[in-house]
Formats: sequence, C-alpha cells, structure tokens
Amino acid sequence: MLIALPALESIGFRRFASAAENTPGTPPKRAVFLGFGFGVTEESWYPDIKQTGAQYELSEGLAPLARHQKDLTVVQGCSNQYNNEAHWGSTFWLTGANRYSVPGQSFGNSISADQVAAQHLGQNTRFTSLQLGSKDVKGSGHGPGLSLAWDQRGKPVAGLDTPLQLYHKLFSASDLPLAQRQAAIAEKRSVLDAVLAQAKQVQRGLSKTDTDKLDEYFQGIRDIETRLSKDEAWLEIPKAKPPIDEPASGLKGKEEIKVMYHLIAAALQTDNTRVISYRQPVASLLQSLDITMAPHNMSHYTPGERMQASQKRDIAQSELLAGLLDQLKATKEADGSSLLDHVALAYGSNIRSIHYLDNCPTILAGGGANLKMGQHLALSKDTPLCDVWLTMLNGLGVQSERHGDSSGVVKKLRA
Amino acid sequence: MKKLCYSVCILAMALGALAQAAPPVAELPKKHLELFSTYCFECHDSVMEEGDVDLENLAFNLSKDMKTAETWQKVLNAINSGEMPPDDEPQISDSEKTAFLDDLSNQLVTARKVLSDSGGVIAMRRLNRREYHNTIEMLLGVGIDVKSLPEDGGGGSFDTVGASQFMSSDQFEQYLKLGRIAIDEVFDRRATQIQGPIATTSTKTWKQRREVEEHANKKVSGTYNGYFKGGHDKAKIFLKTGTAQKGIIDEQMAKFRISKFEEQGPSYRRYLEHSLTQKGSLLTISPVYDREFIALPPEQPSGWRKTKHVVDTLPPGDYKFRFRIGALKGTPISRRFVDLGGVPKEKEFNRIGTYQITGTTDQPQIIEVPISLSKDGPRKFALREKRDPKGDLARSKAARKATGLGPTPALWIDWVEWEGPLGPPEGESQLMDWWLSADAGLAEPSRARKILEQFSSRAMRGTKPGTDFIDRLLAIFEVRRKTGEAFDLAIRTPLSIILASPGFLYLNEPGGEKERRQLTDRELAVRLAYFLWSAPPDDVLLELAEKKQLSQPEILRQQVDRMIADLRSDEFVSGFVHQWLDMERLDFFQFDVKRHREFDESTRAATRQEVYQSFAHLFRDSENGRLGKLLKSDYVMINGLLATYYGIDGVTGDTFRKVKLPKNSVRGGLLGMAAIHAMGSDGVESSPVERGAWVLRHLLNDPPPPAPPNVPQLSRLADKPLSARQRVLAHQEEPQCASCHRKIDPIGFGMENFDAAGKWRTTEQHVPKDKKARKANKGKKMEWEIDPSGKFHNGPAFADFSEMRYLIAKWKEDKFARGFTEHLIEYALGRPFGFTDEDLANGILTSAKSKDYTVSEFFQALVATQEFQSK
Repeated sequence: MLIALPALESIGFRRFASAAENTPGTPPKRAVFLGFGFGVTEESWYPDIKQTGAQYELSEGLAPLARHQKDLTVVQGCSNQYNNEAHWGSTFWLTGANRYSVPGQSFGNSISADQVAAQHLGQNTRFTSLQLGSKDVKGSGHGPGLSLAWDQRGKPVAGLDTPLQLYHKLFSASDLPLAQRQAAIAEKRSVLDAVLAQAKQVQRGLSKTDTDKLDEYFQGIRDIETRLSKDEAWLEIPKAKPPIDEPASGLKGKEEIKVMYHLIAAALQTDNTRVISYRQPVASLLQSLDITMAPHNMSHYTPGERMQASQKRDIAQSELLAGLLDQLKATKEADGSSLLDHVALAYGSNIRSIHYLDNCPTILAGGGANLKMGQHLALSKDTPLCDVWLTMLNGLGVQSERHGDSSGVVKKLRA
Repeated sequence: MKKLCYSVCILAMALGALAQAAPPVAELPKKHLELFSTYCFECHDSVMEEGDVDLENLAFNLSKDMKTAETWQKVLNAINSGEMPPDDEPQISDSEKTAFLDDLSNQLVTARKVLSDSGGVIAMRRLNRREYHNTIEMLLGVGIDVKSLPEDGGGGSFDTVGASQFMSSDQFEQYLKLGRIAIDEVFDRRATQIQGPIATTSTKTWKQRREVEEHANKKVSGTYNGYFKGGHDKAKIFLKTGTAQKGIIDEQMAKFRISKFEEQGPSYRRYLEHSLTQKGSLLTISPVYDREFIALPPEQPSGWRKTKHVVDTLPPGDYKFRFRIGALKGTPISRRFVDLGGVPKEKEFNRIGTYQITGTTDQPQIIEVPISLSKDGPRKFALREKRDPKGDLARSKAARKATGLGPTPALWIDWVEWEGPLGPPEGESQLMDWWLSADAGLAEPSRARKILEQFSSRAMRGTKPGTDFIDRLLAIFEVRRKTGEAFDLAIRTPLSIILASPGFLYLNEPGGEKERRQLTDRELAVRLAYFLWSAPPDDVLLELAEKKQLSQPEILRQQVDRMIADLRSDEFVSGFVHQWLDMERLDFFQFDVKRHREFDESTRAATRQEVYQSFAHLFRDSENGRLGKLLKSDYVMINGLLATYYGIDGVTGDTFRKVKLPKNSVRGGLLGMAAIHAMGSDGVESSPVERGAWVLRHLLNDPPPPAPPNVPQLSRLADKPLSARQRVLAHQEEPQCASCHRKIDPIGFGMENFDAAGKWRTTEQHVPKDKKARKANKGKKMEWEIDPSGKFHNGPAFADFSEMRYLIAKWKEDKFARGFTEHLIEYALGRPFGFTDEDLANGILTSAKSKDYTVSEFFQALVATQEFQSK
C-alpha cells in the first residue's frame, strides 16, 4: 500500500492534501455521517410534503435549523428495502444490506457509505476515518454494530466512546523522543510477526469455516500493519495544535453530543481526517432533557406525554445540528471559503418513527459532494436510501456505480 | 390456527427425522390460496404482474430460496402496513387477515431459520468476554476489568456462538493491552509475596483499624460551623451592619444563607449532639453524613498517617475489609441494610455488596468482606445505607416538613478495619508454576525460552507452541534486554503477546469440512470446561485427558457431576441464564424512585441473583432438581433482603437459601420473581405485552415473530383514562395486531397483579400526565380493581394469576423443557440451533424426561451425545 508522505517542513494542514486529488489551494472534500437511532416525530419533523423545492417551510421539529435552510436539503421517500428490524436504526442505515443475504448465517452486513468514502478520501490524513459513538448505546434504537461503520467484509468497526478519548486521539502528543517512537513501531511489527507465526500454526488443519473465522484475525493484523505504516509516515509530523480545550470527562446527553460536534469540527479543521461517522446517544440525551422515559417508550409515542418527549428530543437534536453547521460555516479555509462548503454531511436514521422503516428521516448539508442544497425533496416512495449515498459518494469523487441496494443516482440532488 | 400452524411444522420435522437429508420446509397452508385469488390476483397474477409482483406463481414453500422468502416478506410488509389491498379495492375481512398474517409471519420466521441453518457446522469460536476474564483469572490469579472489550452475543444469539463473534484490529490491541495489565499485576503480586507485606513487625500482613467518629465528626462539624452556622452568623452581621462579609455581598445572599441554616442546621446539630457520634458515626440518608468513606491507604484525619505502616501505594492483592455496625433502636426492617461500594470518583458508587444488619448499637455485628485490589482499580470505598440516592432530596424535604429535621438515621458504624495483603488461600497451588527463578541454574536465553514455552503451553490449554513463535518472542525479549531492561521487565512483553495470540484466544479444533471426527480427550476437556465453567479445564480434567480416560462414559459422567457441583459452574449459570431469559432487559430502565422506592440497585441485583440461585439450586440437585420447578415451586431461593422485599418473615442474612412458602403464595417459580416482572416493565408501569411475549418465548416455547415494521400504531386511545387492559385490548381491533397480540395479551394481563417492580397489587391507578388532561381531571386520580382473568389463545381460561401459573406448570412443562434444550444446545455447541438438530434435541429430551426432567440430566445427556463430542 502506498502512503503519500506529507510535507515535512511545515505542519500547515492544507499541505497534506495530495496533489493528485486536489489542485493546490483547493480545500479537500470531507464526509460526515450522524445517526440518531430511534427516528423522529413524524407529525412535526417532516416539512409539508406538498411544499417541495426551494420554497418550503421548515417544520416545527426542524425550526432550529432555520438559519441554515439554504445550506441543507431535506429528503423524503427513502428506505432500506431489506431492513425489517423495527428497532435497528443504525445497523443498515449506511449499508442497505440484507441481514439474511448469506445462506447458512442469520446475520450479514456490507460496507457502509462512510467506509467507502474513507477508502477514497482517507489516504492522506493521519486518520483514515474516525468512528464515534457513546457509552450509552443500549436501548437507543441503533441495533447491532460497534459504530455506524461496517468494513469491506461487512464486519463492525469499533468507535471511540467519549469526547475525551477523541480529543486525546486527535491532539495529544507522545512526549517520547523520536528514536523511541521508532523503536516502538518496530516492536509492534515484531509483535505482529510473532502472532502471525502462531496464527499459521493454528491455521494448519482447520476446516474451511474455521479458516474463514481465523481470517478475521489475520485481517485485523493486516489492518494494524496498514495503520503502522501510516503511523510511521506521520511519525515526525507533530500532531495539530488543538483549536479547542480538552473536554471534561463524564459528559452525558446533550452536552456530550455538543462537545463531540465541536471535536468533529476541530478534527476536520485540522485535517486529521476527512471522514467521520457518529452514532449518537439517545437515552442520555433524554435524561439531559429531563425526560425520564426510556427511548423505546418515547419512540412509541402517542399524543400526550410521550409525543411531547419525542418532539422535545427532535428539537434538541435540531439545535445541536444547527450548532454544528454554525461552526462549520464559521471555520474558514485558506481560500476564504467555509469548512461547510467542503463537507458533505448526512444526518438521519433507518427508522422513521415508531416501528416504521419507510421514509427514513434524512437531512443533507454542505457543499462537499456538490449536492443541491436549500431544497425539500420528495422522492418517489421507497427510493433506495442507498441512491442518496451513491449520489453523495459520486459527488465526493468516488467513482462507484452502486452502493448497497442502490438503483442509481438521485438526479434531483445534483447541483 | 395455532394448531394448524404447528401441524405443518411438526410434519416438516417428522419428515426431516425420517429422511436425514431432507431439509424442513416452511409452508403456508394451501387454504390461503383462496384469499389470494379473491383479493390479489386481479392485479398480481402472472398476466398483470403489477409492480412486478406475480403472486400466482409464488411458491407457498417460503423456504424454497432467498428470493421467495424476500417476496413473502414484502407481501407481509404490504399487508401489515395497510398498503395492500389498496383502499379502493375489496378489503380482506378481519378474521381472514388475522389468520393469514399469523401463518405468514410465523412461517417466515421458520423460513429464515431454514435458510440460515448452518447444517450442524460449528464455526471456531474465540473466548468471549466472560470467558476471557475467567481464563486470565484461572491462568494468572488476577481478575482484570474487561469492559474495554466488546460484549459478544446479541442479535439473538449466545455469546458462545462463533459465527456471531467478530475480531478486529481494535480488539487485538485491547487484548495486548489487557494481557499486559494482567501480567504486570502478577509480577506486582509476586513481588509482594517475595518481599513480604509492608510492615515493620514480623507478621506477614498488616492490620489497621480506624475509629470512624474522628473523621465523621470533623467533616460534619466543619460543614456545620463553617457553611451553615458560620454563613448564618456572617449573614446576620451583614444585615445588621451592611458590611460585606466573606461570601456574602448582598441581602439576597444573606437571606439565602440564613434560610439554609434554618433548613439544615437542626439536622447537623442533631448529628453532632447524638450520643452515638461520640464513639462512632451515623449513616444518614440526607446530606448530613450520607457515606462513610474508607480509603486505602486511609485518608486523613484518622491518625493513620502518623503510623509508620502507611505508604502511598499499596501492593495489589487480596485484602479483608471489616466493619462493626448496628442499627439504631426503632429502625424499620427495610432500612436495616448497608451497601459497600467502590468510589473511583466523587459521586460514583460501584456497588460491591449489600449486607443486612441484625446487630444493634448495643450489640453491633462485625461484617467481613474479602476485597481484591488491583493495580489500577479503586482504592476508595464507601458504606452507605441501602437506597436509591436519587430519592434523597424528596425524602429530606418530606422529613423536614414533618419534624423540622432530616430523616432519622438508621445505621451506626463503630469502626472499620483493613487487613492484607493476604497470601494465596491455603491449598491453592503456586500460580506462577511456569516461572523459573534466576537461580534455577539456566543461562539467561535458555531460561527465557523455557519460561515462554511453559507459559505458552499453559495459556494454550496444553498445546505445544511452535518454535518459530517462541523464537520471535525471544527476539522481542532480547531487544528489550539490550536497551537495559531488567529480565523481569523485558519478559513481560512476550508474555502478554501470548495472551493476544490465536492459540490462546480461539478454541481451535482442527478438522475437515465434510467428515465429523471425534474430539481428542484434550479437546473434550476444553469444550467441557468452557461449557460448564466458562473457564479453562483444571488439572483433574487435563490429567484424565492425558490418560485418554475422559471420553470413557462413566468417567465423563462423574466429571460432569463434579463440575456441576464445583462453584465454578456459577459462571455457567449467570452466563447462560442471563442470555437464555433475556435478562439484559433488567438493566434497561431506571426505576422511578417515587413509585418504586424499594427497588434500588441493591434490590435489583438481588432479584437477578434470585433467578440465578433458583436455577443453580435445581442444577446441583441431581435428586429432585426438576426443571418444572422454575414454572412453579413451593419454595423460593431468597436472602434477607428479598424476604423483606417480598414480605416473607423469618429470613435474615445475606446468603440465599431455600425458603418454604405458605400455601397459595404467588411467589415460587419464575412467574413469581420480581426480576421477571421488572423486565416486563419500563421502570414505571408494567407492560403486559412485554410480559406476555416473554412467557411465550421462554416458558411456552412459542415465540411470537419479531415486532413487524410499518404496522399502523393505534394512537386514538393515548392518555385516555383507561386501564392497561382496555388499552392493550385495542390491539386486537386491528388484524395486523391481533395475529400476535391475541396470544400475547391474555398472559400479560394474568400477571397484572405484579407492579413494575414485582410487588403484589390488587388495584391499578391512572394519573393523567398530559397537561391538558391534568387540567381536565384535576384531583381525579382514577383507580380500578385489576382483573387478571383471561384465556389462553385456543386454550383454557383462568380466573387469576395462580390459575394461569397452575395451567402453565401443569400443561406446559414439555414445551418449557423443549425450549430450554434448544437454548442449551446452542450455548454448548456454540452454533445456532437448527432444524438439523431435531434428533439431537429429541434424544436429550427423552433422556431427561426419563429422569423427571432433572436439570442435571439435560447436561449429562447433552455431553454424552456424538454432537458434543465431535468436531
């Protein structure tokens, strides 16, 4: 695998963009995916289906996003046709997979859109992609998985659980001298060689099924090797200076998401990575809004207390998203454009509301994928959600023809 | 309808049994063809094919292939969502629709199972998180925190199922890190043992007692004199003179401090003036002194610092913690419990145990708790009265309103004491038997090699490591030595690598794809140990394997008996029962402290133990341990805490034991256990639907299909003052709902006499919560008598809970045993239970039934099968 060596004399982040993909001075493209598990309040979240195009009124649940209306597009009508799991809002959200697609197995998944984007956008940054999550995942309507991300083989990719962990990953430098850090990498390589030798011993005589199972281990080792090569390439380049303060530990709910959003903006700003996914907490968000019911109970809302809770959650989430967009707008690139101009952001869930899996709530924002913003788009019923992901990926420069169960690109989305 | 559906399945199974190779089929009864021709073919026949859907040529065999199953899934979704038939076309009658959806959704579940059947192949599995923890503990004698590893299982399968386990680069790095933590700790403990405990005396351990009043009184009087009284006095001066005082610069602040003093001052004064605080400390449930903190090494001001024994860091090891405690006169029984917990951070409290207090302040009791301290684990602990602290504020307010003082203190502590670190318990073999000391007479490279070989072989459960592997480990060791690291330090890196290598992490059994082969005796020992202990085999098993005797039926039987009797099988009980009964739900909800005051963390933990203990009791009783006693029994397995919770007299102490129930008790058996009721609730209200579905899934082995997507939800009744029964009965108005809920709901109603926290009740209340509703119904708290009567779908009627339980216990034991067997097979073999396992399950059931379904017999029968003993 080839690693483009970053310029050594300066740590100006713009330099890491490889010349092959970006003409000098053009800020790189980035992708952000935010998934929120249990869906939204149908009655007050979606804009009126009769008002489409640029002239539409934001709904009550989206009202906090009013100042960004021109920079986002609300898409209606999409779904993942194979998902029949009424409580799994994140497992297949970015993959569109059929869990029963592998004969002889009761669960399978495929690569998620963010990981496809990472293969393309992640070569020249310190971190190929970042997967974020929360310690609060149970009962939040996300479904199986370790983050929103699933790798090439459809295996779950682990994420960072707290803003503090992310902060340290992005900005905390090792204070060891270079020679020692080099020795550490060399030792890690020897460690991998040693366990590989042992793995080969175990592999002898295994059946086909078991060899496949052991392959996960081999793949894990290969992934670390790739990462080590990258670490090596970045060894002499100091980590970026943090544009924000170290977050407090133990953040929960609304505050946790808010700080995570700050760090997402900071990670993009410092060009630590160009692809980020975030599986957001739900239960702790409710608790931080003084809602005492469990997310699942709230999701089965009916007029009254539960629906009020659900709406309160919608508004809090919209406020948080508006805050992130503010920040992405306020951060300027070297050429004077805003960070948001170069970010393709997707926000949503595989669950619409309650147990409904059609018309998945979807908001797109930013100029990174050359999508048409400022619209309310009503696509025909049951348009594959993967058509949206494919359009977004194409716009980010990924030349693939399909993603998941996609049937084609969404022309109306193209700018 | 249910009968019909079953006859289809049974037919399919019978065929499968006759002709081994013939796969079972999920077939929709032909009678539904009529429904199709009446309502669907007009558009979806092979000529019209509207929407590319041709139902005429769609096979009624749902499991024919993936595509067929997918199309049927779409049919199910379209009817469920009300999309089909279209509004302007004739509609399917409710009864037809219900019957059809019932068959289709159940047969689709069957079809999915058929299509995902692994055909009996066991995919290699690695140690799951629990097993990893236990294996490290057995190997090294240290328990480490494994929370950083992902939990296995989920998605409906056990954590022992290899096909559902994953491995990733992150996880590998975690294994390296955790392995190192464990190895470091071993060395630290070893250093402690070699050097002896830190003491100036000649004894091997040190022991320190702290009189708690000094600390407590200093803290309480400091707050009282400084903040409350001090603030009050300064505020008075300010109001009199107008001169700013420290912390008081305006009138508002001054008044605030005066009111705070008036509010809290009396409670603080009561504490300080109480005669018992002269020689101990009171635990309050108000801010006055709500915890007794015990740090290791002890905090100031205790006088401990002055002693020469105390050091800043203490070696990890096993310690004993003791405290002398008594309850104050007049304390109600429900408040005679104390929690001990680790306090890693301010305000955090990780409960270690809960203890019932039978002593009084005149005759206190001494409680001793063994505590294992790890290198980086908590060193600060606290005692507090058992309760949910979320309710403290409300309790304090209520008490002050009534008496002007905070809640009456219930417990008093005389002193606390630490002793340790203690050596390994008597009889436990030297844990580092793979280690060679420097004076073993070996040159360094040979010594290191030998250590790595011995440790490797032990970690890999008796498999010899390859030379290549050891060579590479040695090379890593040598590089470290060259940089000047000591032998004892440099060797730790290769040792921890062994703990991240596949030979340690995977339970690998070589074998061909097609032919099954008998496991070797060593492999059998490993499989057996991870099945019954979730841990590696011990020396007894390995020696029998070495002599090739383990596979002899008589010896195998003895070993299974020995392993069940051994307390290590508690690991099986908690691991299996937790997953089998979906007990994860018990932790899903925060319980409403106002409505379920007694159901705090300690009670919740005890209710979980009740389930485990009830199972373990039967598991270890090879004479009378009949499985059916989980459906109904004339006894309960409880301790003092649960007895208090259930209102059962005459049980004190923290040990769980068998307690005979009075006739007609609603307790006894899973259906009477608070944990089961709490799982079927949301922490506030009971959920008849969750409970009914749970009973169908776990007791009756008739699991309802998963909650379908896109079914219209009934909203019109929301927040109307209706009983749970009225509310849920509305489910049955819509055929999409009725197809499952007619089975689920009656059972759930039968359990309505248990509230969300499992307490018995006879009435149910509705408190309107919606703002509008609150206005409309101001002061109208509605209450009605609970009506638990009902009728099983296509089954007998029952008048109340006891009758329902009786019917289940009497008629459903076979079903229950069947479900248990299927789950046990999946757990033990580490692969999903498939249709190909019919004979296996029937064989085990026949054996077990011949012994009255004695729980241990299921295990004996399963272990004796070809499937368990072959790869």
